[in-house]
Amino acid sequence: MSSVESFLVGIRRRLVFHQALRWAMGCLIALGLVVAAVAAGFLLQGLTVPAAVYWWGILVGIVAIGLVFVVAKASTEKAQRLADNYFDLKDGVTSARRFASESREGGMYTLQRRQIETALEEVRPQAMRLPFPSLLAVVLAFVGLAVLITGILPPLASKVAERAAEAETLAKSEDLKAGLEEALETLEREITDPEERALLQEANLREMLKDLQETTDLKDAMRQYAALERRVAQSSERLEQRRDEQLLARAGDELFKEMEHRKLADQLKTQKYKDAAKRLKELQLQQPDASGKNSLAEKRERLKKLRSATRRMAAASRSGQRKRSNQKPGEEVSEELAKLLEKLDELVSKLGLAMEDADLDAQDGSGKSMTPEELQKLLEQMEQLEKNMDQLGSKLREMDAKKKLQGRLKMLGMRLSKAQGYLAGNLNSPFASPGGQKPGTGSSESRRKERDALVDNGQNTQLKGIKGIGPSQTQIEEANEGSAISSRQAEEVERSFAKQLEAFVRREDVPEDVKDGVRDYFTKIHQPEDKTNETTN
Amino acid sequence: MSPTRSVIETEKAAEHFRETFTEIQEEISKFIVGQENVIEHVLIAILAGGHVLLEGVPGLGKTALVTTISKALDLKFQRVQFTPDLLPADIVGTQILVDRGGEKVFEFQQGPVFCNILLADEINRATPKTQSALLETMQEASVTVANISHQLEKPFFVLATQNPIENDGTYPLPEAQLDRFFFKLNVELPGHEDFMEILNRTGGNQAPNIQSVASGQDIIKMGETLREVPIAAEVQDYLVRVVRATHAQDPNAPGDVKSYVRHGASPRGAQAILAASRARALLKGRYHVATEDIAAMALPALRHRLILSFEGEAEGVLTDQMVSAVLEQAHTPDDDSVYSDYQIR
Repeated sequence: MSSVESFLVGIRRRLVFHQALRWAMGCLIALGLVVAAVAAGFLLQGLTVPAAVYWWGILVGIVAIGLVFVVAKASTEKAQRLADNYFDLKDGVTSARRFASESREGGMYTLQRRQIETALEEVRPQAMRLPFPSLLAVVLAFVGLAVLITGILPPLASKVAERAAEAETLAKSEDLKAGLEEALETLEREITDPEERALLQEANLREMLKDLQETTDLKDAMRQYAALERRVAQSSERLEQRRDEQLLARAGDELFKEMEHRKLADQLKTQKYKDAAKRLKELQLQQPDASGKNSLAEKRERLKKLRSATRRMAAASRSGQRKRSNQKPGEEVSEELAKLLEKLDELVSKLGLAMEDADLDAQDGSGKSMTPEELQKLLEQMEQLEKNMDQLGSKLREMDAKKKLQGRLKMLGMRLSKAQGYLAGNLNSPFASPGGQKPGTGSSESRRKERDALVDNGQNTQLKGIKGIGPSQTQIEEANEGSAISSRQAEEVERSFAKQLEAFVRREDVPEDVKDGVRDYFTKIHQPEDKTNETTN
Repeated sequence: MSPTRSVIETEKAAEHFRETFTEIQEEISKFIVGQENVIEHVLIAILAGGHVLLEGVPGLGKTALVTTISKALDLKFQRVQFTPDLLPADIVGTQILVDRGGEKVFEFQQGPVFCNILLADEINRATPKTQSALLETMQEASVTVANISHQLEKPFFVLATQNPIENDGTYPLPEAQLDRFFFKLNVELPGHEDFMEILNRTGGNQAPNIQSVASGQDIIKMGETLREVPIAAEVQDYLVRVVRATHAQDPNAPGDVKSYVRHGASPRGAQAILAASRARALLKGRYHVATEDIAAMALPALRHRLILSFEGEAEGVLTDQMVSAVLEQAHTPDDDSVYSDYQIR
């Protein structure tokens, strides 16, 4: 190997190392950017960057550096150009190699070769200082810093919160679904009445619950529960029987006028339809024996009672029909129950007449008993009456079941409403009763000993002044004239409370036990005043 | 050229080249101050067998330079002051009727062109017809009159001068003739120190005595020596790329060339650069042509060979700028970033 070639080998080696260094830096920059991008992706998603990202980065980096040093190569042409430039050989190496490759010898060619060989004796490849790729180094430093920062930086707070919220929503929606399924199972267990159970089956609640999907999206979850609440409300509305209830309440009012039917009246007014059905059953006539004589007197008595009841109820029905004639178009009309009551009255009335005829026949001394035809007719009439009574009882039981199921559905609706509040973060517990414990059972610490609003605090001077002038926002704009102590405010508060109470007990979505609790509360807080009044009176 | 010359002979010839060149340079510098570059280029052109067009304002010593060179070279020197009424016969010679023993015969009367160094002073003041009379002379070193060719003595060089600022009554040299000039050299105003030295040397009664240090044979021998200097294919590639890049149609031509150059340099321009580069390489003590020789010789060899477009003329662009742009673009042999990264520090 000529001295020129051996010199170039040294140059090439340095060139290869330098090139590999540049490539390695380039690879590390690219790798660093990838790692930084991946890490930033984790951080932006609100996640902590896994250490594996960095370990993989280091591993790939080591492999890449190794590969680069294996793969990097530099051509001899590059090396010769570099040598000519770096050592200022004026294309001497290039020319010498070219002439050698063309086998040019003698004369100027020989002189040129000798000249360049002499020149190369004075320089060494090791003396060549290749420029350090400072720009790449700076970029690499910045990229490394970026990677380091991604390792230190916490995940994006807003994203962390978002993910936490999603996880919470998912957990809540799972809890709620499980809770609702449990509640539904409890509901199904509690319902023993077959009619109510049948109505529950019709409501198809199980299918509705199946449609609920666990989700991380709060809006979606809210939408699902709102939709479910609406469907439950629709099911509840289908069980609506307000007209029938009003009719029975009027019937109760009418029956209340009869001393012997006050119990039935109470049951109808308080919507205890099942009990009312039982009571009606008790009023039913017993089947007469074959002769129809022995029991006739007793039957007459029972019929009398029954007639007074049916008459009252039919009167209530007719009264309802008169009112219906004035009702607005589209209002629900309870035709079936009204007809049933009027038919019952009619039947009882006919049966009464028939029995009176039979009684008159016995009293006129003819001594003849009822003919078989007459007895048969009477029995048929009684049977028809019994059938009608059964229909009424069945209707009442159905109404009772509907009423109960409607209450349960409303409770379920409330639960769903609370579930939405729970999802939205307004409630700590999904199925907790509102306001904590039942009314009146709160702790002594939280109980108010006196009502500030009702106590005269003696600051009557506030009543002075000119209307509409002055900075105070607590200014009373209207007041009774005079210097006496005003009780207007207390009366207003009392009236406001009373209205609130009345409105509260009128609400149908409030369970009866809550209403009772509120009633008791108001009764208790007014007792001392009532007693004082009584004593004064 | 002697292909059988041994290494020692070649080395001696190269040594002779360098020594003679230096002697001529030193001799000329006795009288001419501040124009070292011009002197070197003129000598290179002479050694390479080329003609030189010297351009400069009056009083810079163009004519003095040429007369001093002729003295230093011990060559037959002729000077022709070109004027508009100068005829071709006034330069190349004419046939005159002479009495030879009672017989009248036409004899060729040699013109001033029959010399070794012809100074064509203010060449652009002659008509194109007269200027063209020099074409054959410059190219073939011969004169044809009455269908008879007359060979000129070797070596033969035309050193022409022209004034770039007095354009009234001048005839710009045609492109064909411009291309015959090996170099076009701009004679610049000397620096302050050189100015002082010029006054010192020329203001007194004693003028520097210029000795002839080389003969015509020396010049011819030196020309043979320089043509032996080899050039590597890579360096020659660079030379070709430079010359081709002066053409607007060349894909490697710089933007300015594409915009302002109508015609680029001819192959004769490349030949001139190569010959001059060889001479320069020898002068620098090298036995091969380097890219830096080409870069150094490109400007004087190409500046008069580029023809600017109308836009270039209108913009006041100089051909020197175009050649510099070409050299800058073609600096590296190939588009290798490694090469450009590792410049000499």
